[in-house]
Amino acid sequence: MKAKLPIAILSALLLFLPLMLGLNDYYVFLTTLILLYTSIVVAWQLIGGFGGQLDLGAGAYHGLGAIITGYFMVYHGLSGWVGLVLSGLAAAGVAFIIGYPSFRFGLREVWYALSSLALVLILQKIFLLWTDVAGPLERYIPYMEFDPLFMKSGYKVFYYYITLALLTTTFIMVFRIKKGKTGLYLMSIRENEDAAEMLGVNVRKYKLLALMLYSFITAITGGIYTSMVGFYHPTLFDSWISIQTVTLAIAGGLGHFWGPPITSVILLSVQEYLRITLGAVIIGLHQVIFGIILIIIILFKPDGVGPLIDSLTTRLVKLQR
Amino acid sequence: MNNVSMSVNEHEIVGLIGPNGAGKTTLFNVVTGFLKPDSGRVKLFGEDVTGFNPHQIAFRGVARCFQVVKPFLGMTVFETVMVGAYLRTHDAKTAEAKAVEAMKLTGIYELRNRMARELNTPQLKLVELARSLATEPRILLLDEPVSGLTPVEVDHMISLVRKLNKELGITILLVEHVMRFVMNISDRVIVLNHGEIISEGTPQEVSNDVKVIEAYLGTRNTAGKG
Amino acid sequence: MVGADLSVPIVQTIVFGLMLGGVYALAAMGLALLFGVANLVNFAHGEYIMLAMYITYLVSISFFQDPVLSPIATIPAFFGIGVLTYFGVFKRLIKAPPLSQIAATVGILVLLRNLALAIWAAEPKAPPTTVFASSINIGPIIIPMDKLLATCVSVAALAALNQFLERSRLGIAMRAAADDVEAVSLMGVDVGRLFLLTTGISMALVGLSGSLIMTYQAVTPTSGLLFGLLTWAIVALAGLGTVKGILISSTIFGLADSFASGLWDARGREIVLYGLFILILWLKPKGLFGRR
Repeated sequence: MKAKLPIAILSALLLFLPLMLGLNDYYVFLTTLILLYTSIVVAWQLIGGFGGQLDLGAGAYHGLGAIITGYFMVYHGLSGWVGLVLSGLAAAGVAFIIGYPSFRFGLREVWYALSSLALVLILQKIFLLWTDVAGPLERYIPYMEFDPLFMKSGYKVFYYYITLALLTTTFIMVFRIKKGKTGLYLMSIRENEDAAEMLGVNVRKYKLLALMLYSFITAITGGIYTSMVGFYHPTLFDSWISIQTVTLAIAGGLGHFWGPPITSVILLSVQEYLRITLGAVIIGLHQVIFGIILIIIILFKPDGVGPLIDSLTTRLVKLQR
Repeated sequence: MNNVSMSVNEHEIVGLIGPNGAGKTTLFNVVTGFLKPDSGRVKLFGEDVTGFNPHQIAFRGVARCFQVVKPFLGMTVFETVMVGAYLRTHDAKTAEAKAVEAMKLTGIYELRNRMARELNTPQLKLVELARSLATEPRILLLDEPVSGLTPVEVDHMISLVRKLNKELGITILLVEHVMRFVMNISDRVIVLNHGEIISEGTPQEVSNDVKVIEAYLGTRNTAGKG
Repeated sequence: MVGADLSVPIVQTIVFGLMLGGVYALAAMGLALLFGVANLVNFAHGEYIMLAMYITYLVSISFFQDPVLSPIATIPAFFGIGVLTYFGVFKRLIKAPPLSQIAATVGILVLLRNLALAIWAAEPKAPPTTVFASSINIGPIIIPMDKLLATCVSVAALAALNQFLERSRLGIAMRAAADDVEAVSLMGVDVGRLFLLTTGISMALVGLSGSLIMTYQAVTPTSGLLFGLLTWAIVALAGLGTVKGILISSTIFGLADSFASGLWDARGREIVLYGLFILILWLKPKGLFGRR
């Protein structure tokens, strides 16, 4: 990586952020949430940005992670860490079950987007009916002040660092994929599937790979969330998470590297600010902003701010020398 | 297609001609796995590859350039050729070397950092050729490689294809309407009409075949004279 | 005796499903038109239906008292909304790739949904009772008058639309555009105006169907997702966007809906509908009647 100094500064900033916020539980909570959702956006780049499939299933995988991790922590006393792994595997499994036929039968564009959205709602209703595991009432994880082995703590700082680790890992993974054969193959699929296939790219395999990696990571975000807030409920299968993720990824620039995470942090902060200030007055206003952004970006700047940020980072690197 | 049976020998250049709608591109689609045949078999170097997926066929040494170019518009020329180069390796350096070689062979090395969407059709045809060559194919299928090219560009393509065949030993199966190109370069010509083979032989034999002349009679061959 | 016990609920469910299908068909037809003629992917179609339902509610409690009269307001209002949407968003979107269309209309989805949430909050809203609140009894089968009326209006509207598409100049131009837009434009048709009118008509159908659907169920801000997926599922199953195809496809979904909520669980209904949708996408990608 070329830009060593700016990244070092950024890393230091992120590492000491909780201290800078005075260890205020509320602010740390908000920041953790923002980093959590940003992780989803970065992971989504695999299937959406590189692979070119407009996947609206993030809400499904996030919810799955929340329910499964929560369930095993509450009813089987399993550590949250185990829950995370189980969630990730379950989500990857679900991704495979829905992805394999979808790709085998050549579902593209609108039909893929629709079926991935349907998945969110199907899972929500299934878990609403599955009263043994979830059902219409919230299930609570017992409060613990600090049990790192169980992955539960009353201090939000605990989750901040777990999330930071997740975000960093996801970042590195996506970066290496982007630079390597997998990333190139995925982009060729995005650009022209037939041509890619004729060059030896196993289109189905790579789409599935991208889908399963992204669903795995997204499920983990759900597990972390549930442990942090201390409860789970089928409404965590939320189509808004899917929409939010896609909006941030597009606004940040599909397939660009720094655009989406930077855009995510900024816009998620704005969303939180709006929710706090005006959210009680006008319900849902904070989400409206995303709708407007999406429309404006598509109509006027379809590449998002990605190219802009790319040129900024290039200049930053040059300045360094 | 109706009962088509043909074979191509290694290191040959075979030209496939016939009026529009005769089934030539369909043949390509079946051979490369984009279409599954209702009956019949496709054999590659002795192996039965009927019903295989295109990427599996590509891996076995078949490359194809499309009738209408299918470029990777959002990628650079270099990235495009790299996709082909990665077929037989995971290593970036190895793939890079193959990509460079393919680009230099087709003469597009200078364009390597340009985005595909900036190029014109003749350039894109060369890019398509380069990315196919980067897969190190044993057989190359060319679907109307010189359509829309100027006579000078056609000449360039003739010498390039000859070079690929003679120096690299690549077997070539091509479809074309431009007779100057086909007759000039093919060792053997097969004529299709209405999904059936109506003639086969050297370019000389085929152009004198009555059946072939009849098939084209009344149809203007607009793609080229000479 | 067991057979006799079950047959009445089953027949009732079938009757209900057929009626429901008739009303869904109108809702889906607007989408089929837009997608078929203008090749526009409207991910917010369900939200427009939801909005139509809310407007029905609004005019019913304020002006008309009886929801039966609400189409007088919703049809022209939605034609206007269609025109606005066309000039605001769709016009530029038609040339864009499908993924861009999806993303932008998701943006509209968010706007409409949160607009509804802000104005009407999350509780379900149903219109006041209509003068047609009685029901007809055919043997043991109960047929509510208002729902029957809604279905009849829906089918009549579809029949009228069918005539329009077959006979009128505009209708024929629309069908031709669904086949080959370039040819239509080369024949001197103002394609921009054609798409504008298509959007207007599509939305007018949405406006009417919103009023009609209110006889069957209440509306919440999340109804949009349900109707969106449902109408897209109907379009997928139909394949071709003909009135007949949409009607048959809608009937199948109406029956599925009725059986799922009647014989299983109201919450299971969505699982069945979306599951059916996904299966259709996998197994019958061309739909019942042809290319998509």
